[in-house]
Amino acid sequence: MWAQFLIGVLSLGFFYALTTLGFSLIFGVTHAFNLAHGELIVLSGYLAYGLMKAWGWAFWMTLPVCMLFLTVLLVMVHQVLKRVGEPFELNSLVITFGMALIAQNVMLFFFSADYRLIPTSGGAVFSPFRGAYVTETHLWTFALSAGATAAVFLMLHRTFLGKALRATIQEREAARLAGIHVKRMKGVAFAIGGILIGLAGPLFGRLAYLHPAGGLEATLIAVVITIFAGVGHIRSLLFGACVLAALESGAALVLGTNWRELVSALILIMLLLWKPHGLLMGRRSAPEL
Amino acid sequence: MKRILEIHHLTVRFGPRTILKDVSFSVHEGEIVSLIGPNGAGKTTLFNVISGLVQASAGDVIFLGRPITGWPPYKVCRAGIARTFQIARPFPDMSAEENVLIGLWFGKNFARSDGVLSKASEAAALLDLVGLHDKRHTPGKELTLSEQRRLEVARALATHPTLLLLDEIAAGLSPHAVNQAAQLVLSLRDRGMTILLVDHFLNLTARVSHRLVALDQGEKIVEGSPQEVLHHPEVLSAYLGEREPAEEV
Amino acid sequence: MKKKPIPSFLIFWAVILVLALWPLVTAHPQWVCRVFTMAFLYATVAMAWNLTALSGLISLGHAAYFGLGAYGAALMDHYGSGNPAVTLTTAALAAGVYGAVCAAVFRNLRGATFALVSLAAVEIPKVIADNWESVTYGSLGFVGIRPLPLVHMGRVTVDFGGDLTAQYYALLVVLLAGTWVHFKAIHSRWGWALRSIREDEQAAGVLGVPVYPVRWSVMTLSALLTGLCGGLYAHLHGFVEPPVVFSTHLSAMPLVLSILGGRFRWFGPALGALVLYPLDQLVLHPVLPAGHAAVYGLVIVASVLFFPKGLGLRKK
Repeated sequence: MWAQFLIGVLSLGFFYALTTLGFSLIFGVTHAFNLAHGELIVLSGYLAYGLMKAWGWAFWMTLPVCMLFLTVLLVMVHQVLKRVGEPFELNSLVITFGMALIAQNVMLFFFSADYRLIPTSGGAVFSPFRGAYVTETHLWTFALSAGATAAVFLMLHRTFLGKALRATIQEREAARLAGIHVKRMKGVAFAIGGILIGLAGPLFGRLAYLHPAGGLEATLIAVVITIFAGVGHIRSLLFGACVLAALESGAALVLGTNWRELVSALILIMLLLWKPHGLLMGRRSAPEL
Repeated sequence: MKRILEIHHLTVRFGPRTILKDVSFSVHEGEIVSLIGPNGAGKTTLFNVISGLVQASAGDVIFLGRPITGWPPYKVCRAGIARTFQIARPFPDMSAEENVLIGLWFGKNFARSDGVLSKASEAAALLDLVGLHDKRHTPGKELTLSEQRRLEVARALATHPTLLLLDEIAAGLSPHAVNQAAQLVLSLRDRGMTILLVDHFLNLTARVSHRLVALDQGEKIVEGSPQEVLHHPEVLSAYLGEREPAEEV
Repeated sequence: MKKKPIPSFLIFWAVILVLALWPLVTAHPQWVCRVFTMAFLYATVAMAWNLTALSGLISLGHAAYFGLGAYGAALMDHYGSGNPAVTLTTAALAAGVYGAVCAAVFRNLRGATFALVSLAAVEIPKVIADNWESVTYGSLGFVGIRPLPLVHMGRVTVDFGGDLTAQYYALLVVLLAGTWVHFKAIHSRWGWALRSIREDEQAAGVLGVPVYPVRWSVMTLSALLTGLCGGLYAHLHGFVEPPVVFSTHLSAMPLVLSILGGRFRWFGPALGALVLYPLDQLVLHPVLPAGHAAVYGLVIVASVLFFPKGLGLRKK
């Protein structure tokens, strides 16, 4: 039973890391709070569901389409957010809250309020220990999430573009002075965020029921892990995601499945009370000295 | 002479940093006292502690014989201490007159005022005093820097303070405007107010203050008459250790 | 000679007057009555929300108070007394206590941080209502909450439970009471205190404005009023369920209505509600039964882009 728990936590943890990566990258580079993050993931999940249902596509075939579609969508979101005035953090929060509502209603229009699940074979693929099973969903989740996380990590640390992105995250003004085209970096961050969200959606649809109002939970998870890990630190992000997954799974085991939703909300509140400027990455000046 | 304000062994820490370390001094009735010192000496922090915006880690602030350490800002204000901010902070969307009215309605005379919004004549008199009568309908954010500073003084006076804390009201002003500011400070003293100034550039201090308290890196280094303090070797080295000698701008 | 524009508060009174007289004068379809009854309810919620916003904080979580109010009334109706005076008091108290706790715990949070925390704070009552099945019936929700009662006034008996026209007037009175509170929050010394806190709270503090007590009490009042509306909602609809009364949509609606009508005018949120909600329900809903609420999102996006002043968000 513990082995099964561990398998579940690891695959969920990696999935959380994947859902957070896009949010974290966008927030780090542009300081935009994308409250529509979860809704976009659910939207991508619905897209995969629709493709599989309507045309009988296989699961893997939906992935590139979802990634492409969400990238285009996120670039559009970026075009809107570019026009938002100061104070940018709060304004972006409010405007993406509005976008989340629009996305919810678009999904309601196309897919109604019924709960949907992307069909899975459900059977165990292999059993590493007695009593512990690894299903196809576990494998998909683990492989895609780990692959995407590793790709982002390598991109950030090994390529020139990644270095420019990291520089922008760490010190935007200095990056600008060093000749990095910060505006272009913002566009890049949204595009990469779109790819990651597009990838996370179909997985979300396999792991949990799709519902137009179901995005908030994913948003909260992304926000919690981002604040916990800070932006641009992939390893602590992965660690935070696994800790959160373990806490949620533990709560689900002890209290019941649905109490799980409380965990991320409570952690978020506590994190923000503990470091109220955590989101602003400590760039705030101390009280006037 | 009666002691208006006593600071006893005041210490302020933010995390690992100590901003103020065991500072003690007092201000007597009718005095004009200046706090001087280079950047980072802790002058504004001291103001923030007195006015209740920053909590002291140790030590006491005694006002008119009562300890006011840890009081919230509004209580400190109603006890009779008013202040201005180094970077002027008028209410941006309120007119100059409304800025002053806030002080009149909520300041020391809060309990006595009848709640009706009828203090316009008093507000007009205060705006006259600082020479902003013509700008009384201009929103705070549209005033010039010097006008915003004067508005802050008028607003602080509106709370009917016994002790007035003025933070760098002369910084960055032309010599002529510094003269005006000095006149204003002296006239306030003549009205019976006690005044504590923060002055980094010393351009107001020398003209008006009775006593100087010099701070450096959070510690009091010397206290005394302007002559004594300005020629004290530690004060000189503290300022020279910075970039330039005292008389700038 | 320059023409004086009509003062916009006259438009508000004209709208109220028309709404008050209309059912008396002409035939009135019951469903239209119903829509306006709900518009009055949401207008009151919008003004309650704006009380918090007037102190300079944008809350994205007023659904918490609305839901707590609805559940407070439903629980009291089910387990205790069905007397609306009792259930509605319970509703207001349930939300008010949670609001007071939130206001105290979150007192150091501002701007985006506060908005985020308020959003997360909805989850706590929501998940409890959704999962404490032995008490709240979980996700099934409460069915069969007693409607508002018959009231005997002299020889006339008014059926607030069944007569939609009576409900219409009852909620109109609630709206006017809410408008009065909102008026006071702008045009009074209390209103000036809120305004000074909104514009610069440190400066307000050193000028004698009791920043923390004022903000705490206005946020508690805001939660209390929202809870009262939640309680009324429970009685008007007869059933409550967690995904509805704790929905994101309910958190967004007061924000949208207030921005649309003008956040800094005493009649703004009410006017916004009286225009947008009926428009949504009477015009958009028949055309787009699923997805009509996207209009609220569109209003948010458009107002942040084109009327940032209406939001009154400002960089320090």
